[in-house]
Amino acid sequence: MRTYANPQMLVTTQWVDEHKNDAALVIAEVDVDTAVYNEGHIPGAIGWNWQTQLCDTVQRDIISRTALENLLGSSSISNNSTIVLYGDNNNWFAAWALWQLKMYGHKDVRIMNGGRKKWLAESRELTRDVPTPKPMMYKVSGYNDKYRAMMRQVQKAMEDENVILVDVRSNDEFTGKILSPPGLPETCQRGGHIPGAKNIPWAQACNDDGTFKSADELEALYASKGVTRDKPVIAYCRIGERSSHTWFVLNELLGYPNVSNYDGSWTEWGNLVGAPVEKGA
Amino acid sequence: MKAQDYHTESREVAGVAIKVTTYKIGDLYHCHIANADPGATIARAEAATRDEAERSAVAKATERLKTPVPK
Repeated sequence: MRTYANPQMLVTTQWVDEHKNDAALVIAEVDVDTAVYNEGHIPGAIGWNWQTQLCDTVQRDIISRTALENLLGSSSISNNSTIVLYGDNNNWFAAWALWQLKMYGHKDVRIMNGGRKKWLAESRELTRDVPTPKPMMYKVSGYNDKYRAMMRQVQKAMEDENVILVDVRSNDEFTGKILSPPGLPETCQRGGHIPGAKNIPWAQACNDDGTFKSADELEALYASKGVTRDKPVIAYCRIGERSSHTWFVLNELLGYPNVSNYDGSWTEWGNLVGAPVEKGA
Repeated sequence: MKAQDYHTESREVAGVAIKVTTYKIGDLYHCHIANADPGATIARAEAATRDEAERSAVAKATERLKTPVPK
């Protein structure tokens, strides 16, 4: 059985339980449901809100360099800190945070395998105490844009048989049966997918307990749809967060060398005038 | 403080597949209803008992899912 390409990217709930008081470690919870942090969280963990703290709240974009420096500094994170991220729903938005931190060059950021779900299911310690981090200076060391695909790159990729587009939304979104997942507001003018894209829903990468499937299982899952390490891969979803999870799997766990996340995703493409759309399976 | 009685199950309301997750933290049961895919929370409730929390959350989810999403 093979191991993950970068096994250090994942830590277990047991490891976090044993190291949660380490001075060089900062634990951050990032949830889809931004209210659950207040129900109880890992002692010492800070909470980041993806809707207000991990994006540009004026124009549609990822967090700016300055805002990230402020967020990390105010979270008592230095450039040498180890950051462990976790969250609800298979670490969905923890992966969104990780993708941005990796683009901005933070060296040591990891995910707690299984996330909040596993921590709660194992009845590990929780608190409602919100930490008051001592502010630090954080300086972003660079910006790695190879992890991000913009619309024009996707338009070119659509014409290039060598590039694999992976749509990680549900099959109903992919086929155009629905415009957005039930109960969610962000929508689009047209349903369907980018022509040529393969549909591999993001959560297929996870086990029922929220942990990631084994390297062998993941490799087989993506290879079954022609997603292999020898080709550039662009993942997308609806607003770029589910696809950041797939980016994590392909880039970090499987070590594919050329994987990017199109965070404009379907809420950009499905609203573009004149953009080609394919419907059905 | 620890989570107890962690339980998750799949159901259907208003023709939509949902995941119902309940657990107890402290004196309160928390119930979260998420759409089956991608698993985003669409309703939540807290109550002194599991049944009460689930009933309240399912009612909220049903109401939300019946409301058309604006185009």
